[in-house]
Amino acid sequence: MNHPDYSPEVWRYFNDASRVGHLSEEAVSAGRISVRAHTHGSRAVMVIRAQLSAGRVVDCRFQVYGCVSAIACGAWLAQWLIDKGLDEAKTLRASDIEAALQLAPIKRHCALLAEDALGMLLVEWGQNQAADAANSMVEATG
Amino acid sequence: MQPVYLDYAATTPVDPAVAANMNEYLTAEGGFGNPASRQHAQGRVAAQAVERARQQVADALHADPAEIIWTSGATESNNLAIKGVTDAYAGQGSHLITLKTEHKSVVDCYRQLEQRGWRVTWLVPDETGRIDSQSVEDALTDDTVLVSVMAVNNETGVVQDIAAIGQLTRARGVLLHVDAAQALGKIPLNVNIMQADLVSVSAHKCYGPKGIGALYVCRRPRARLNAQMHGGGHERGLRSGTLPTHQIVGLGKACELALENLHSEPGRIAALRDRLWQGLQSMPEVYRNGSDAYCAAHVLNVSFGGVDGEALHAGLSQQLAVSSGSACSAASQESSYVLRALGREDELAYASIRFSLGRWTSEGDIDSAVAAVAAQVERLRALSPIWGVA
Repeated sequence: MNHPDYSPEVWRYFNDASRVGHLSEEAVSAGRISVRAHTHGSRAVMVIRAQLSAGRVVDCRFQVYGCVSAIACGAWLAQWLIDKGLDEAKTLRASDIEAALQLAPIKRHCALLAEDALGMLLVEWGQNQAADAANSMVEATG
Repeated sequence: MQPVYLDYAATTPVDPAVAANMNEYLTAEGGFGNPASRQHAQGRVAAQAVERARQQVADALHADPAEIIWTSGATESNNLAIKGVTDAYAGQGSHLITLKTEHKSVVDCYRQLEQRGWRVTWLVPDETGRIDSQSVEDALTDDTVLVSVMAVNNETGVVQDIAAIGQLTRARGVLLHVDAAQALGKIPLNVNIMQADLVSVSAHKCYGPKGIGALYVCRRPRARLNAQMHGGGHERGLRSGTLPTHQIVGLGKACELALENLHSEPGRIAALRDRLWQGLQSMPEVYRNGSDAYCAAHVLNVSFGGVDGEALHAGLSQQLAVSSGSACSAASQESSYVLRALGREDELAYASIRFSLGRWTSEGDIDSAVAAVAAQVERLRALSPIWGVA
């Protein structure tokens, strides 16, 4: 069932709990930042955690404190990252997330939050790759 | 399946007895006539129905029928009371008093009057939402013309001590306007005990139809007000416009039922409200907004820590029909100005739910609501990276 205030994509990902939470092993905490989105005075915080194997994401989890669209962006990003390599992951922009979720323009900051979280993840990922970890975990907070 | 309806403070379904009564004044077989057309039978039937309804509304307020003016609802009643009085008394004073937690239709009238040069004292209630009559007394000046205080707050259900305020204003010769839209049928209303000069009521908050309300205008001592709607001189020139007989009959019948049910309904609803509050308290970080001791039976306003308000309401929307603060400002994404005035921080004010119960609320509804809210709050807290993090 859809919701009249949100696109079907936003509503579906808001209700999709399949990638919520932590990875099975303790994640490496790195590059934590907290972004305060100035919408109705409340904070929006996003955490993305990824499990890598042979240079690709094999598992991804998210957590979000925020509005419906922020949660949907986190859920969408966690799903999108599966099976992505570093170079491909680098290509994602907020506008891609906006388009994929048909976000309302007023909710653009939610896609930017996800882009920020991905950016932090990529930094960790790059450092991780440099350290030549065959199987590792990275985490970023946006 | 329809969501459980716990938004009776936004509007109520029309009582079947009210709807049946209204239906008698719509069609050619019924009393469809214009109540102003007393020269023929159809008009007289309608006029009699209007006057019967006027008596019913007056009875609910312990007033005289001649003191009841028909309006389109509480918003118009508030506008007529505030603008009508300030028009009539312009030049005899320049000061007004009201609360920061009044309904938007009162707040916006006072803001407009400020722009026209009136000086307004905006009283701030304590953290429970109550205003001390002493603060009203302290604010009264020789220049004060009007004081507006609502009987029952539409967001928190907090009941003000109108009688204590009325004693002060009457003694000083200052007019007292009471928005009683949420009070009709919920608490006893007696204009003589309240010493109110103007009282606004609405049908649709009390199992009557939308689009009809009334303003009580005290005759002794006489409250003067200037009309804000001009035309055919209806309602003794105070509110022109053809009277909607079926709507008026609906308000009258709703008032009759409200009076009949006043001794039993609030008690039953208060027990359900307490069951709801008890159920919600099984979760950590839930905060009741308003007063435990001075609250109308039908409203429970609760803030939930650790969740975003928009996500909470959206997540519940398919199971529960509730409001976030005032339904009248639901289009805006701002947290409730009423809760902020009570000192609630912005995030908690935003993550609030106004549950409002009514005539057809059952224990099953309450238990479903508790389960739905608990599940949604738990889900959003599990989703949150900051819940439980010191």
